[in-house]
Amino acid sequence: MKSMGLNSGSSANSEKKIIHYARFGKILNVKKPLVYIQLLFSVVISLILLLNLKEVSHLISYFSIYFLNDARILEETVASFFKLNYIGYSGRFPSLYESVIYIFISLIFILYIPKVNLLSAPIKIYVQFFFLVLLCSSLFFYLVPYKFPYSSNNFSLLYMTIQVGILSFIPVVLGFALSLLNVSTAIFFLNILITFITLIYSFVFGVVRYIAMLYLLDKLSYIWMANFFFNLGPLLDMIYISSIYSFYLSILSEKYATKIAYWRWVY
Amino acid sequence: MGLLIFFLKVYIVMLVFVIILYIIRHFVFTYNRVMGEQRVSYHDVLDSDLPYVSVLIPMHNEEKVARYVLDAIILQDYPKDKIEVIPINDHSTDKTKDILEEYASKYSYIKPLHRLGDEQRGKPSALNDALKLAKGEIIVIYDADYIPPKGQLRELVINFIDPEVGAVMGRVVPINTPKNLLTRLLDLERSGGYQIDQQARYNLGLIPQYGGTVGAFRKELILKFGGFDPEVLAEDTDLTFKMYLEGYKVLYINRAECYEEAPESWKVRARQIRRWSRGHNQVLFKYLIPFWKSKDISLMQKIDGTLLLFIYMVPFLMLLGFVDSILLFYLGEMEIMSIFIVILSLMAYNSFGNFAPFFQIGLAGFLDGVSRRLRLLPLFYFVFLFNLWYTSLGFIDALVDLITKRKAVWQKTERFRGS
Repeated sequence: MKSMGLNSGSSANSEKKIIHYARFGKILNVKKPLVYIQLLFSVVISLILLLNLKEVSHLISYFSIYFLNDARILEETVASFFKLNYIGYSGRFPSLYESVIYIFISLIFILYIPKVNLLSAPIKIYVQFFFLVLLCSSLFFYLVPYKFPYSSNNFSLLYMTIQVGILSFIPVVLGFALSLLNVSTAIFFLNILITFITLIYSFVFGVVRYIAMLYLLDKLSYIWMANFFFNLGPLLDMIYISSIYSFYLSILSEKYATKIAYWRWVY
Repeated sequence: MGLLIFFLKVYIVMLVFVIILYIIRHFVFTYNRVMGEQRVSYHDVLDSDLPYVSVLIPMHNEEKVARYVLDAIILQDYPKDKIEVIPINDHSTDKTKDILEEYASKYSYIKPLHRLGDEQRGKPSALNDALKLAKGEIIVIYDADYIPPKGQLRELVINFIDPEVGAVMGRVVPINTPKNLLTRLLDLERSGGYQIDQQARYNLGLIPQYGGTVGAFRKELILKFGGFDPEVLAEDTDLTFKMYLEGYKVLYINRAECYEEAPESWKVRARQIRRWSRGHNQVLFKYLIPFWKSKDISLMQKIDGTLLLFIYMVPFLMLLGFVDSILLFYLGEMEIMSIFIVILSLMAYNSFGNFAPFFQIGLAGFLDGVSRRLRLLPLFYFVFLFNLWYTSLGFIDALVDLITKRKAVWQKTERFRGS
């Protein structure tokens, strides 16, 4: 057969083993029961995590405490129902001098980043947003530091709430995304494996970030708390979630390209 | 203060529900396109009695691309005695006029329209002037940077055999995808928008959108509507909603692929997306109420159409959500809200990585047969922030237009071909 399809062979003269369906009308030959089983499975995993938040949060705290001096594990009930463990750690307020320095640093970045040609526009916007939050924080600590409503322990609890929230959502988010790829039982189990790999990654990343943030709040002061919360919080988690998903999808895309049975035609 | 905190919290909760609504919509679309039944167009109909067609190509300083689109149209297999091509030279100051005259001297069916006087510049005004000259019962529009494949005119026009069809829309595919990171990202975005979003809306009988290029419509209808509104920057969305209000259908033809030049710089992309947002929101203000009052539109179409109308406003609402969250943070109210922040963040990215969740874009690329390019998906996090900003600016532009009755000035997208 002469080369006609989407993916030609290694050279222009090579013959094609498979002629693919045209992209406008091809559909995945998905096994619908596997889709529903995976969706159900994902919801169950999320529920299991939600019902064991105390244990999950304890595990995060347990690993984190090894790297933080004079830290202790505390317990708190969140939203009148969920018991969480978190780390109690010291922190400090910024001095007036530090606040002024950060105001200037933030202003310099906000005003001059748009003029840096080396960075692309999305990165500039991210950096500007980052320093805008820092500017708000610096101004707050410069003007009304005594009104800052949080301590290091409050932040620690907030972080833990968010982290266990992310862990609970990962199976659902990935469950929905991966379920549509279920063309065989092997893929179904691979999808489950990917979900667990992402959960493990998220757990490790969550611990490392927790340690780093608590440490930096003590060393660099509470002035960074808002940035940790808004810029380095859950939106950042989407980067590794979508990274793992996209890497997996790209591998599957190559694999599916060789299996005509995985596809159906529109008619 | 208590009341303020209450409203700030209510806003976040409402925003989360809005975004959940969008993510459900996009999951349904993805589910439908990947494994559901697909609707096809009338492309297998053989009709020797094809209608007379006028192809309109608005051009403003298009010397870099004009020859490509004209050459592609000359090669169309549509009967030449049933076609006229009207390239509209809209106040060009480069060599566009000379190029058009050169083609007109060689091909009798190429009839350039030169707009050089005091007329209002911009695509809607240019199209209105060309419509006065056009003899075709069907009007096909291409932007100047487009390169239609050989059989495309026939594929688009054959659908008008159905008297209920008011407009048809083909698929846009970037031709300069390998150029740089932005064009590769835009290719994935376009893929998500057409391969899944448009096709699923067509499959489900919802509101597939006429996109202003690679599209066709009945001339009698646009004349009945009084032509394009020169004050609206999104004349395509405007026409889509007019069609539905008049009880006509818009068809999406996934196989009618046409190549375009995607913006190659972020600056150009920023201007483009801001203009789209401004125009789309102008249409939102104009049609939301009439759309819901219409008796010709089903409830599901009304829901989908409303979500479509709001799609360029939601990023602005999300930006307000960020400001709201920061206020709540400093008011010491984040304990209760933190779980909502998690949901908001995850859903926000999920829904608006680029007006589509990451899995929709990923699976669209998957259907297209791309593999390594899919690994760019995480970068949509940064594109998300970029879109959030420029789409919000576009919304503010539209709001100012509405309040001050300001006239929008059309801004052409810069071309890169040959540079």
